[in-house]
Amino acid sequence: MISQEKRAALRILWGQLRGQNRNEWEHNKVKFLKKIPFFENLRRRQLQEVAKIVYERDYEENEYIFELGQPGAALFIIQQGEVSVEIPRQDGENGEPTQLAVLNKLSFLGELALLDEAPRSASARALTKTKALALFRKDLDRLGETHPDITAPIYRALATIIGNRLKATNELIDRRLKVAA
Amino acid sequence: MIDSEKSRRTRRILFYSISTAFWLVLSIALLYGLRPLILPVILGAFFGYVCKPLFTIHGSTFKKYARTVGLIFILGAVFYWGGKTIKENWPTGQQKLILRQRLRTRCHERYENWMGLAHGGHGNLAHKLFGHDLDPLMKKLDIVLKSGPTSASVQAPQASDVIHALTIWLILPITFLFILFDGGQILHFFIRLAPNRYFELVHSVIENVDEALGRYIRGTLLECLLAGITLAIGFFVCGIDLKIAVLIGFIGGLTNAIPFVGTLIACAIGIIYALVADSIHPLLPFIDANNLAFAVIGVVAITHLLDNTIYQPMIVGHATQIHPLVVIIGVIGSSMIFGFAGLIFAIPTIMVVKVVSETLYSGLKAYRII
Repeated sequence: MISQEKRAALRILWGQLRGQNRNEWEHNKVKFLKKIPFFENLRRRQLQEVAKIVYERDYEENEYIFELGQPGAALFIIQQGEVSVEIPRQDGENGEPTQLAVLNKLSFLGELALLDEAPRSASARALTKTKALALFRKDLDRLGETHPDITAPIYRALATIIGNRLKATNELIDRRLKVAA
Repeated sequence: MIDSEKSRRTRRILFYSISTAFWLVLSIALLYGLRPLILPVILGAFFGYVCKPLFTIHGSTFKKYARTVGLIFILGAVFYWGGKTIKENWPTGQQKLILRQRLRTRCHERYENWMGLAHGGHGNLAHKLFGHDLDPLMKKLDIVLKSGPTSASVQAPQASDVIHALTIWLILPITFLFILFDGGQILHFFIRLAPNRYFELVHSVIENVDEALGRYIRGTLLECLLAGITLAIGFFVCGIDLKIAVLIGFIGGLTNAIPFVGTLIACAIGIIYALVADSIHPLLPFIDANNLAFAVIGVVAITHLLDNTIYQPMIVGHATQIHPLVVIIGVIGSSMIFGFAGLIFAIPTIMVVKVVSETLYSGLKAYRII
């Protein structure tokens, strides 16, 4: 029984030989990427370059996309399915992990991995059969060497997202402090 | 349901084990069977890695192609000149005989001068100390140079041989172009095959190996170039003709990629030339025909020292150092199995294995797989 990934890989190889399938497959990927905040400012031709370096992955129910403490290497964008971002119980403790968020289609996770190799701050587990796109930091760095016009808007979007999250966290802390006072 | 999952897991492990064993055996068999292709493939990959940064740095497509073509042209010109000069200066059968006789006479003259045996002398302190051991050696060398190496009759190459060689070497430009223009697509294909659990790890390992390999190859090339230039300047200062000095520097620089062996090759060529040289024009007053061989050894030693203390640490770095025992065993073992290609590429191959193992090990630890 050939797994989904292998089938996808064979499809790409065959697509490379034929050219036709690959174009169609990449066309869909480009259409999908356009909807993601990271890439919304990119033009179609630029998105095609990004589409060349992203990987399509399929995850079974309850399969981990990444785990807490692993070195971060890639950003994941959910194409289909549901993903739980959670912190597992410490060693020896029983019970369910602490769920931080449930992410759906068009959401992204592990975006800090695009900046450095710092360990993952939480685990990501597929709640249902999930399809995700993975974009690696090193691939993006390499793309930046040849096409800085593509990576600059991506990094700008990343900075905006992280900035917004920081603001939201500050507001949350303020509110909690006020409630406690 | 759980039983079915378990049996599926067992089947999967069995399938992966058998597949891995099959592909491993097939790869080894192919590697052994396709040995003649190893050298052109490695050379193609080498040139590909050297030219890659020029093709990937920012700029218009035209500039990228222009830079790459420029570098290929320069490298091609250097290797063409080196090859052509070696071919032109390579002695014919008659010249070989003359050279051998000249070498024999010069060896005798130099030995007698060094040992104080010239002009009916009875030997100096050096002869008293080492003559007992060195005299039989000189006699053996004399016999070897007198009789010459036993050589098989050389046949003119047949048309089929040329076609066969062309077929084999056709893989060189293909590998070169593949490394340069592929843009990582084939690597992407292999990364996609990795199971989800190892997906990020496989990508990181491949990227790190690719990076380290590129850095090593470009660094080694630059290091060899500097070592070659140092040798050429040193030999020229010692009085060796500029063309010959550059040629020995070129060979010494090329072989410098092989630790120890490269230095020995450069030293041996320099000494042989120093022994047969008719006239020298040293820039340093204390060098003459009698001590030129020692000067050559000095130049090689200084180059080796500069290479180890300045060139290698600054350009290639300490990360790519291999234990001397591994170098010696690797070079001897691979040259026995793969011949000349094994001699040249043993160290780069060991480097690749070292980088892969180190990256893989640290990756497996970081991803908590081991």
